[in-house]
Amino acid sequence: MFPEPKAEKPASTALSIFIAVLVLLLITGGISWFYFNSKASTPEPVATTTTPTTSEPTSDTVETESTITTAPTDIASAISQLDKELVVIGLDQNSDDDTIDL
Amino acid sequence: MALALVVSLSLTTVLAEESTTNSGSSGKTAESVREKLKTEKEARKTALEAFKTADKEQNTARKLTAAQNLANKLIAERQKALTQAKTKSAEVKCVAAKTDIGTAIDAVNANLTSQKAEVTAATTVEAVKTTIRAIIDKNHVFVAVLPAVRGMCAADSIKTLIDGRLTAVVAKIKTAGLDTTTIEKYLADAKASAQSAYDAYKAVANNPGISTYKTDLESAKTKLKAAKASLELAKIEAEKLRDQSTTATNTEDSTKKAEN
Repeated sequence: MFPEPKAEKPASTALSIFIAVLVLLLITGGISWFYFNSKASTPEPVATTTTPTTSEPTSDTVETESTITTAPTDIASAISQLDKELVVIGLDQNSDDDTIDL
Repeated sequence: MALALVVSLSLTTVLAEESTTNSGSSGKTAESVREKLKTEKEARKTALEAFKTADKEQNTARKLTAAQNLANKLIAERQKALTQAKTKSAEVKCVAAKTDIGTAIDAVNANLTSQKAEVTAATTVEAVKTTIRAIIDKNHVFVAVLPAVRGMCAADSIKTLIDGRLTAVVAKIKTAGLDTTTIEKYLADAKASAQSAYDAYKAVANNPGISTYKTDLESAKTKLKAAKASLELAKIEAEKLRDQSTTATNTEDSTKKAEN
């Protein structure tokens, strides 16, 4: 009398998978867009060191326009970095890596 | 589905790389190349233990192999340190020193390569032992080359700062009518000391096997510290000039306002 419940057709299963993939792509795409968009609008952090290029700069004035306001800070940073280097130099000088007991 | 997976994975990779970059740039701490060679150090220690074990067993063939292995591990550890030091000198701001550092490192590397050939050709344990001593004493990679190269770079950075930014600032202040005699003297002193330190470190880097390397390095360090002392005085003077400049600007502004 009544028609038997139909088994799910392979075509509808494929459609479901297709829609699921589309949704996933949409979400992933959205996240990527948001990420790259925010990255582009955020200014890159200014590194304290610069990587030398093929042409060697003769002066730092090109990269940073220093004034008397920033000069003490520039010098203080150099002193601080020098202190760190002196510590590492001291540690290297006193290391036991160049001794061997045969 | 596969495409979605690829996109997700790429995104995860980008985010991971970003996080690595950020953690790398945050807080510029100085670290020795020596500290980064943990794997090589462990391999050298294991090779030394193996050599000592073979030595106790009195097995000549095994002793020779163990000694050669130890020598090769010592060479590998040093060559890696030198490669990293060379790369690092190119990354940091020691542009002028880069060539000198490269020359010094290449010379030591060439020594090690030649010593590696000696190790391979050696037929007795004593011969390998002699080469092992030479690998350490003639090159002094860790106790002389690395600190010397680092010192060269530090001294060079000071000179670059003075010749570049600071000289430009002093010129500007001078043009503005302020007296720059004192700061110029301190900067000249700092530059001279940095140059002396550079030369002293360079001498060690070019001849790390010299018996006086320890005192030579100490002497170089004293010069670098003298450069630092002059820089500190220059900083105080720069602060004074900054304050004078601010006062002058404020007075000028007040006068203009009063005139208006």
